[in-house]
Amino acid sequence: MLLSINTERASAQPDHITTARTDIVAAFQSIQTAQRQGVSNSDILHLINQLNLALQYEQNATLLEAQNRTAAADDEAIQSISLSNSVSLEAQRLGSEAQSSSTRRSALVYGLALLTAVFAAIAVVEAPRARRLLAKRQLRKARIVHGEEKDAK
Amino acid sequence: MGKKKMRNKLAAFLILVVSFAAISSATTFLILSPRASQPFMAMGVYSRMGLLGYLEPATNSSVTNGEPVNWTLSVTNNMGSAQFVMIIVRLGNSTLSSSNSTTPASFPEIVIPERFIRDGDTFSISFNWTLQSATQQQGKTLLNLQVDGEPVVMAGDNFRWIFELWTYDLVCACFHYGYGPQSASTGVWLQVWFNPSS
Repeated sequence: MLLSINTERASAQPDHITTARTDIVAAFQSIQTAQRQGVSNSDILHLINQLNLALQYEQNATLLEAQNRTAAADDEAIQSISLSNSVSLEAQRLGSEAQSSSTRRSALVYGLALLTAVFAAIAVVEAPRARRLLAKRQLRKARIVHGEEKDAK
Repeated sequence: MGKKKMRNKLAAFLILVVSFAAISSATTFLILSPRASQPFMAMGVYSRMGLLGYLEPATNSSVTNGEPVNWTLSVTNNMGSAQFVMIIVRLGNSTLSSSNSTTPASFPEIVIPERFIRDGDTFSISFNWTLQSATQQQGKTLLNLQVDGEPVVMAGDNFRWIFELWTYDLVCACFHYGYGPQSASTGVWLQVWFNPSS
């Protein structure tokens, strides 16, 4: 079951109101893309508030248009367009920032994981040699007790 | 002899590196992956006291003429991303069936608020209505209501408010009933029965 929108907006100045609606949806799409790119929920809050404001302007424009107050409706629609466009741009900026930082973080973490694997492998392979070296050193440090001294005691 | 020993050592080293790299990469992937969760959206109708419509007129309660009824509709988004939602408020009587989990009702739409909701957020909007009059005409009740300042008239019996949650689908560029993909959406609706009394 679908409910199509924009069905009652064919009178007066439909262009601005239709554009406002299209831009609101485009901004919403940008926000969803930004979230997929890794933008945090707290960064989204401001954009959602702005988009709700744009939606409010668009609804006011529709209401004013129905009352044949075309100029006022146009003003509201233009405010809505401007707000949703700025939300779109901000979402795209945050999205690309989040994506590049996520790529950097992943590269760093996987690099560290690989480095750990190499060091672990070295530790295992060289463990017998290290043990031998340690034993040799302990032997060198040990005091040599001669046979006569031992007998004298 | 020394060369062979060196070769064996190198082979052991490579096998160990590959094994450890596999283990540490899998662990890293597990840590970096987002936790799996069940996406859902929920809707509630509350009275001004913050209660889910039991103490205020809600389920089969009497509504007195001229007395304003103030409810709050709340929608929670736990879909993992921001959602564009619309609540369709319908006034129903006994002539048609209510909404169900797949199909919305076909009663007239009274108010249709829209809103964007961030993931994990709940938004609330007020829904205010007043029963202006309830008169008997040809065995039926004629209701005169005021909803958010607008007059609404309905005849019949077994009156109820129906609240449906609709979400915007970017694929079809339209609102559809419920949440989730349009082809497999989950319907969310509530109904509140009331008896008009003078």
